[in-house]
Amino acid sequence: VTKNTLNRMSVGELVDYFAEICVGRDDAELDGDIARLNRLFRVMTAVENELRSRSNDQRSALLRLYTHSNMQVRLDAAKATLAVAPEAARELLVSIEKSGEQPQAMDAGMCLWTLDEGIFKPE
Amino acid sequence: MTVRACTFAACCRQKRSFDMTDLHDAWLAKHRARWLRPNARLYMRADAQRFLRPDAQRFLRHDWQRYVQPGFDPLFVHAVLEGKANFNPAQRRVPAGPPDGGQWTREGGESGNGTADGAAGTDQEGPGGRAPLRIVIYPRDSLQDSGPTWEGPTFDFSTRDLVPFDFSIFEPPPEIPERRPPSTRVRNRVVKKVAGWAARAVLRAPLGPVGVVITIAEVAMWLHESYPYIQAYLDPPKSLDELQRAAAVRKKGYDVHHIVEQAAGDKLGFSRAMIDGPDNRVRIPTLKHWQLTGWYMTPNKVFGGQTPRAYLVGKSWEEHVRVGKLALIKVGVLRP
Repeated sequence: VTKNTLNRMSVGELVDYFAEICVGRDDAELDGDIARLNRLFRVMTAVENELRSRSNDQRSALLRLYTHSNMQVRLDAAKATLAVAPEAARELLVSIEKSGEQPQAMDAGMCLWTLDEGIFKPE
Repeated sequence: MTVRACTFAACCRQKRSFDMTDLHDAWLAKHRARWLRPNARLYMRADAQRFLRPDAQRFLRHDWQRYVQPGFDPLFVHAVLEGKANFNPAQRRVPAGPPDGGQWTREGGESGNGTADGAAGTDQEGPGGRAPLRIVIYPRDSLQDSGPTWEGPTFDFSTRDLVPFDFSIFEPPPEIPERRPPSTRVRNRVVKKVAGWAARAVLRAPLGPVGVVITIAEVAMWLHESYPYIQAYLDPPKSLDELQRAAAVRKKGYDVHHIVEQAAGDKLGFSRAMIDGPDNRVRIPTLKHWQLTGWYMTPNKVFGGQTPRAYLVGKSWEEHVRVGKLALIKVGVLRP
């Protein structure tokens, strides 16, 4: 996916695409396919940056993924919205960590740790 | 059903080599014969139910052949016996002397009895002396009286448990291919899904993680080879000392993990003595080890888009240990 393609997509389409990428990441994790995970991470970051560049920082549109059935989608949506909805995102991360469902619980727990330590400063 | 000649002498007569598969076939043939006799119940061990598919009693009828499809191999009815999935050498037995001497017991010394509905009283006890949660995966079709249907590449699985509480809280189990997938990647994927599903079931069970026994139906016998991995995945978190001491002994279903990763340690100039030291080695479930390694190798937004491994470059040994231990806690292996 090129930057031009992302430019032409609506906010709703970008959110759907974000969810699709996260489901793909979950799938790649099950396969132990690190190369695919890395590739999808780059695409996911590009989508997030595209939403951020839209007027009024449209990353808040990702909030609707907080109730997605896939845990990886909820996790990535929470991380992507920490800057625009810090409290709701943190609450979701805590609930994912408490769920104990791996590997998302671990990722959520480490994310909260980096926030508390000041290693990760959402922008 | 054909039973191969299996003695060494018979093999010599047939001018073919004698190998362990001959013995294995003989073992299976012997057990098949025991289970298919009209009075098979007399020869069942008290806790045999736990190794059987839920509707196995149908196959103990003298006219069981009327109820199965042509060509059905009775091997599949009780093949799970091979796995002996629930065997626990530490489980106590009734002392010799009384009629039930030698049988497995419950924690309080009560003799166990398998019951007709499969509610075996001989299950292993979980921590605290409570009966373990048992999860049975079996083909949905096996509930029907029309006999099992074996067509199709996959089966629809469902759960059944022998502990009385509401099982509707569980999500349906993942699909498990009937035949052993030739690709390791696909097999691992199924194993991970089953382990994850069972772990979620444990987390949601009101009884808490009191120990889990999974009996996998015969249609997915290939999954039995991965049983230790699934069971290990359900281990509760342990102390650092327990994990470090366990690293001295290899066990199927577990890997030895280096808290400060080997590759990273080599690159950063940490000595081999520190990396391979007993303090840095812990034995953890293999499937959790894969998740942990995957996390270290994958770029993460919280580390500025770097992998955690890259983030740790240039950090002190103590920082590596701190992050390593924290990751073990977060993945549910190390007790906080």
